[in-house]
Amino acid sequence: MLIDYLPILLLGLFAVLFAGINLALTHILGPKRPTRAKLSVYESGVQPVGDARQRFTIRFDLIAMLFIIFDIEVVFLYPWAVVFRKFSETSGLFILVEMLVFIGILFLGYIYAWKKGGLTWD
Amino acid sequence: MSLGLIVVLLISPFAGFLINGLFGKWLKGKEKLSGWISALAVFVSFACSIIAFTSVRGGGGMSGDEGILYEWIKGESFAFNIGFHVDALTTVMLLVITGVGFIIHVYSIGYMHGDSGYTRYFAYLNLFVFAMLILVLGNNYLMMFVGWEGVGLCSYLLIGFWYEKQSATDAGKKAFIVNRIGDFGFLLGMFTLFAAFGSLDFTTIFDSADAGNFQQIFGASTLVIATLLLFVGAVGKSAQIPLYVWLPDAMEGPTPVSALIHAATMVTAGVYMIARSAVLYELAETGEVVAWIGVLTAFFAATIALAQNDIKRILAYSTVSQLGYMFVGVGVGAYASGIFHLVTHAFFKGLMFLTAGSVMHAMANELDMRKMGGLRAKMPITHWTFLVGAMAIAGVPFLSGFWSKDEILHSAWAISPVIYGIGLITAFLTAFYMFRLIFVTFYGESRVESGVASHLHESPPVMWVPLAILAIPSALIGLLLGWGGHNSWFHHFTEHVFPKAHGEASGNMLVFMGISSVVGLAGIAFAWIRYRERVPAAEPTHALHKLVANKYYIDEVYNAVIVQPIKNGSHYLLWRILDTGIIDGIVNGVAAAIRLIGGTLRRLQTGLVQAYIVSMVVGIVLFLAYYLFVR
Amino acid sequence: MPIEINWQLLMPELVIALTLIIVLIFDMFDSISKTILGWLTIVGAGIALWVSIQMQQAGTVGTQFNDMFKVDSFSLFFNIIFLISTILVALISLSYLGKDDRKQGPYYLLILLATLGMMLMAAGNELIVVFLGLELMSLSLYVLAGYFRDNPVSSEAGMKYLLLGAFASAFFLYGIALIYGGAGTTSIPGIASNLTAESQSPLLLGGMFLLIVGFGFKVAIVPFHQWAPDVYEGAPTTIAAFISAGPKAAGFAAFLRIFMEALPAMQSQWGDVIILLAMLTMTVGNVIAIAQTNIKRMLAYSSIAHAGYVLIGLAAANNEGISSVMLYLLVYCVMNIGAFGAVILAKTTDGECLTISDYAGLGFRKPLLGLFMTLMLLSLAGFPPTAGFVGKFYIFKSAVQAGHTWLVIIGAINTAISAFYYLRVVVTMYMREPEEELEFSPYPSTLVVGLILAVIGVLFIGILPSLLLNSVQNSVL
Repeated sequence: MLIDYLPILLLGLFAVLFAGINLALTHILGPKRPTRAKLSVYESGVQPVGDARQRFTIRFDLIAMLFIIFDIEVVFLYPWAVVFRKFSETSGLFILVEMLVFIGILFLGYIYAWKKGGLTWD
Repeated sequence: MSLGLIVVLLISPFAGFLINGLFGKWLKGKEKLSGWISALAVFVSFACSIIAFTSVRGGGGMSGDEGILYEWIKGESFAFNIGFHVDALTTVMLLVITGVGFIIHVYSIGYMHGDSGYTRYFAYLNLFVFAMLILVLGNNYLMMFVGWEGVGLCSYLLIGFWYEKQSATDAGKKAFIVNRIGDFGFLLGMFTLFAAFGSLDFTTIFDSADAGNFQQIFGASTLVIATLLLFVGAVGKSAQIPLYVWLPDAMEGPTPVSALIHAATMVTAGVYMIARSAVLYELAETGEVVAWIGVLTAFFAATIALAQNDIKRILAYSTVSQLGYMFVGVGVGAYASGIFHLVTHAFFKGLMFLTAGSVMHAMANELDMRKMGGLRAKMPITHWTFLVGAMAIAGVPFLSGFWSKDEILHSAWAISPVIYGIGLITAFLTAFYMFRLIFVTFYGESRVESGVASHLHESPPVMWVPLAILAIPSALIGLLLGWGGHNSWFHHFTEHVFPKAHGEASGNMLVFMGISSVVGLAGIAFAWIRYRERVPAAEPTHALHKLVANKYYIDEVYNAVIVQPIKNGSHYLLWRILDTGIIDGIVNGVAAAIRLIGGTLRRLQTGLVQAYIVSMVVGIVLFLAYYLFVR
Repeated sequence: MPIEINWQLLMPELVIALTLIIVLIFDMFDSISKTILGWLTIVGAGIALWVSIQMQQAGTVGTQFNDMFKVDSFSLFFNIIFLISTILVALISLSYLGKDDRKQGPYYLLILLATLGMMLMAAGNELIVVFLGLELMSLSLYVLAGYFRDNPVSSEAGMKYLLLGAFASAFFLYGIALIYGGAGTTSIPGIASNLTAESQSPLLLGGMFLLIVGFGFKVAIVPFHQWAPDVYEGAPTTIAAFISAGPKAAGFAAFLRIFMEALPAMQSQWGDVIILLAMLTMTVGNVIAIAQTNIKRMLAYSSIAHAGYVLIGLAAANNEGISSVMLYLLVYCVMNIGAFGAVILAKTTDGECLTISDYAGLGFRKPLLGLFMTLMLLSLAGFPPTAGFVGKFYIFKSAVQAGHTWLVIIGAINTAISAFYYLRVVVTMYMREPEEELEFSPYPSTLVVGLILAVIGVLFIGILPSLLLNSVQNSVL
């Protein structure tokens, strides 16, 4: 019975080895000519030196979350658009309205977030 | 008769309880309304009871499956139903409970006037009626037990109604504890029946018992054990020897409560239970035990009543004594007579308690009759109604007590002349102490303290009208229902309910009636001679008097023999040695073990999320290991 | 290919969704009193409840969305449980939050969202849908647990719940993945038909086991229970009541549906694990509850123990078992919310009475509160004639029928243990003198109404169980 799990074990081993070997290879093969700028950590343009537990404003998270929600909405529109043709003959109007309702609800959420001050920076 | 009628009958007082209980705050300023709502609730039940009664008289009724309202809980081989059993016995009880109950509710409206717990009082009273109705309506022992506990609870709440008074809470506690002993017996009896019959339904049990079709869990004495255990319950609830001690103390409650619960209805539940289980008592032949306990209680309580000076206590001992008569009745197989006495007693004893309440009302809650005297002039209605009640209980010819008591004594003669003899002496004593009470309280010189005397007055109509109404059945109901002795209307009405009395009553009924009348009248005459002009001495004069006046020191004996030893025993033996020494050792061991486990488990409850995740993962790993390796 | 939607089947869910949108719109206007949002929630849930009861009585059955969503008596009965819980919680919340609370909007929105999630879980005929419902419910609850942002204990509760919940959800999802691997589908009837006693791969076994872990966390089964006391203690009391009621029922609803409908062929594998978990959960929950001094923590451990009792019915794995579980969950939701409601009622000017010793002498000082609390605790302890007794009776009965007599004996012992700590509170209320005089706030009327409803429910089911029982027995899977 245990033997049946062998593929999973192999998969896990492969994942670990792949990552490990890559890291090891770069470490071994890559030429090392360090300069100060190269040694400094690059982090999205934010000052990398200092306390790691540096605070940054919660507003980033809020905006990011709102962005994701509406981003997903758009992502959702793609598959819908793809299958729309398939159904357009029989119940096109129905699924169009359906999507409008969906967008409408999200739009309502957008207004709600706006109204509640979720979009104001200060 | 339909189930709907019975449901309305039952639910109505409960609705009254809910209204008074839930909206008590809102009703606070409107006490009249609260009282009348609750009285109305009982009146509705009374009206339904009358309909049920006429239906039963016309041959209707309800038993077995037709009375089942619904199934409460169902197991593999048994089912507990909520259902009703309505026959002649039930309707008689219903009429007593709701009829007397209604009058007492009305009376309470005046009596409790101005009490701070007004709505609470009526809520409890309605709840009591509801529980009592469950007790008599149920078609199985489980419902009877529910009602049994329910009335016990209400009784406890109402005895301790004025809970600021230490004596009231003590009395409540005493009633509660003593009744627990009885209830425990009842419960064991119920278990025995269930084990033997696999059911608690009356019809099933009685039919199987008749056919001898049950498990002999205690061999041939199964039914004997079951009936005696049930009787223990009856002894507790109906205040018989040796568990009667709570009833006199129960007089701490408001007087209408004493009238309703501790005279007319709840305390007769034991008599009802035995009458209902008549089939079992006949088969087990344990009736004689019941009769003996009954007659001894009757005599014993009557002697105590001779030397009491507190009106309500005299009435309480008288109740204990009269309940003894009822047990003699059902014990000797004269079930109809026992129940008949229950009915007449409910009226005249209820009446006397209410008149006592009326006296208290006028006398600023004074109960010692040595401080009364000559009240008849100021309180004529109270006096006359009390006189009717006293004459009824004393067995003055043609008043109600005369008929019912006589039937019981007559039936007892057939079983045992000794029981008859003791019963007859008790009848004399009863007449004597009741008229002693009357002469000392209502006749002779007034000994009322001047402060009280100035506003001595007759009670308001809301109180005396119920008295007058109750006085009529107290006087006449015996004649109406009991004319003809064992061939009376009452016996015909209930003949299908009870098994035929085994000992056919012998001897000429008229002779017995004559003897009883003479004895009763002699008691009255003796009281007239002794107490017409005299007041009971402040201190008991001789040893026997002292013994009786102190109630044979039974409370003291119980205290010394049972309560203190239990206290001491529990302190020294149980607590010091058994508890701290042995049980504590074990318990502490277990507790320590649990604490150790708890401590260990609590250590897991660190509040750290990481630790929780670790424990979850450990759990997962262990279960996986179980799957992979153990199975 | 035409799309047909049977709107009628979706009525309860649609009503809740619509209520959600209405609450959302109302919350946008600052001029509107915020208390109206609570009432809107109650009305919406009430309509949905009425619709569900009607549909349940009519025996409505049907599937929707390519068989992903299944409406039957089972799901409708659970809808009734969820909606009753929601209504009761909303009722006790009205006064708890206070008129001036400006953040009430999200509170009721999240409660409605969680309710919608639960309804999805009960009706999910597809593992992914169940998971969607689970997440919809859980995410709402994480936020609700940390609703008092300014209170560090509340925030901590929310945070812990989120972290551990996410961890458990991952297991659950992984379980779904493995089952998909083993059975080739995530549809519940599909799994059942693809699964025979011979065709069981270890993938299925692992997946099934991980599902138990996931559900075990959501319904607080030992050893996945540790979040519960911390979260209950820290979360607002109303939310503790909510978390302990509806979501637990929802977890069991999906648990029942998946294990009884999709994996009955594997009963020999999951049967004894469930028995083991039942014993462990009851015992650990009750034993630790004895040691608690904080009443909310005590109720938390008690709710863990109750999950153990429910598992007994699940272990029985027969129709009796399912119907007894459904009955028990309904009873449990009502009495548990009632108990938490009584805790809220015991509010002094300094805050809630949370230590059990604070309850000393309350029985006589505050008779109504004493009555509520006593009744709820007696019901939790399973005394007749309360609903708790009826619930336990049928759970135990089903297990005896399935031959798990030992499990029932352990259950009965546990009931005795539990009576100890429930009655201790009652004894404290009636027989102890208070150490200090506490100033009590006046009773809020909506809370009292909520509690009276709970009392009526507890007594009604306790005295008249047969009315409900027929409905439950017709609702088994």
